[in-house]
Amino acid sequence: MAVGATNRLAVALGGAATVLLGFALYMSLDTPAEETQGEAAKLLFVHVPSAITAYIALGVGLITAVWYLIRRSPSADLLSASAIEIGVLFTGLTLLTGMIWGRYVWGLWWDWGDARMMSTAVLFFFYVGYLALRRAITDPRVRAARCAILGVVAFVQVPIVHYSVLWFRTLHQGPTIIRPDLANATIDESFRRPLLMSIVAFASLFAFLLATRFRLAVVEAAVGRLSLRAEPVGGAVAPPRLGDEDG
Amino acid sequence: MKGPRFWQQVGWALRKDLRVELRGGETLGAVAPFAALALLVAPLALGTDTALLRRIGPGMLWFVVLLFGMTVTLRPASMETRAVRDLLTLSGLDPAAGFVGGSLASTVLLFGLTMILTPVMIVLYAPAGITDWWWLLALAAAGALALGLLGTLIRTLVTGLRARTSLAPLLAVPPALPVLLATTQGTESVIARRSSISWLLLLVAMDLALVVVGVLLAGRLDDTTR
Repeated sequence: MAVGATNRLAVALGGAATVLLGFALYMSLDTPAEETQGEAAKLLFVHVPSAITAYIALGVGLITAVWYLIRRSPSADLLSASAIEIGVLFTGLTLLTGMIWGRYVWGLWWDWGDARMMSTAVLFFFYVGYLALRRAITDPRVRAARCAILGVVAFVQVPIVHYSVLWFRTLHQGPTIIRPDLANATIDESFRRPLLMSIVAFASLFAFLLATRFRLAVVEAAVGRLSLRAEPVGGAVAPPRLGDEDG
Repeated sequence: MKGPRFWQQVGWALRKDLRVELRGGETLGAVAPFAALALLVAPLALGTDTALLRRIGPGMLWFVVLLFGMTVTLRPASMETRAVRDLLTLSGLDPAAGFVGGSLASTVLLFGLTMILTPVMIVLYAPAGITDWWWLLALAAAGALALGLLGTLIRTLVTGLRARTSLAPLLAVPPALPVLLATTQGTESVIARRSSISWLLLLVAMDLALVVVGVLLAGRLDDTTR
């Protein structure tokens, strides 16, 4: 895709994300205090959408990594890396907001026995490793192939995180919206609407960030190619020709 | 791929890595004593309460095997220069056979390391007497295979990189955590004279999944190391 087209797309998505985030913020602040959790429950309007957006981002990273392995398309590699980078950001935000919420509701920042917290932390560090690998490889072809393989392998952790609350009975509550039995969400209507609005707003924010990061990645790749073609430092200095006389 | 020729190549790759270890002796001479020292030093930081040490002994054993075992598994990445990789390619080595052979060599070394450290853990941490040694051996073998396969997969990902020493553990430890949990819980079950079959089966399932992933990806990974 041309840089100009992605630029226009990024501006449009940025506008949409701003409006939707504004709506989500208004609806979230307008909800009543929850009966047992009080105002701390409003953190869930950031925590849950962050987690779902992280799943979406890492899912896009997986699909584009597979696309790269099949078609060897450099754009797929850049899109995969951009999506995973944003996925790491949202996974970190999920952990952070979860810890703050846990401090107020459970009385502790971190519960070692909680399967969801532990598996999310492992997921976060796994993908931090992906980003570190990406930075360590300079050859674009090698980087794309190795990172695509790691991007596919690392995604195995995502369903483990999601289903950990069903497989292990620990402190974190079970799924309330994306339920495996497709039953109705176990959440009051006054909380469900702002939560869904927040999820849509965060998804649009992800789309904006992805378009922007992809545009930057395309430019970075172009600069990388130009620097490879550029004359090496000192190339303008010619060695003295043997046999020439000084005059 | 996979006729008698494949297994012959697996044997070559296995012997190559074991011969390098035999000549250098790094696992036995340096890594194993250092890991035993870690088992000795850890209680000084955690507290020397006998009841506590008895409880955490199996976990400490596998934690040390995981961290120090990564050094053993990832060491060939620093020795396999471009010339060595080119030579292996020119010799016609099937990448999948290279992966399986390299993993088996790592497994042998990790199993040996675990067998050296287990008596050290028993002496220092004094868990209740172990009677079901066969279960412990089976857990150690399945755990060593899982760590060997994972380490070899990660080793290929970081081959030829300057930052491989710091990068490889960051990539290898998060996916190795289920192995750590299964081996620790299994060892605790053996010590408590409970059945550890479910943990052993979980490790075997992980081993099979890692073999399939490694064999399927070996060719694509091998392309990137040249």
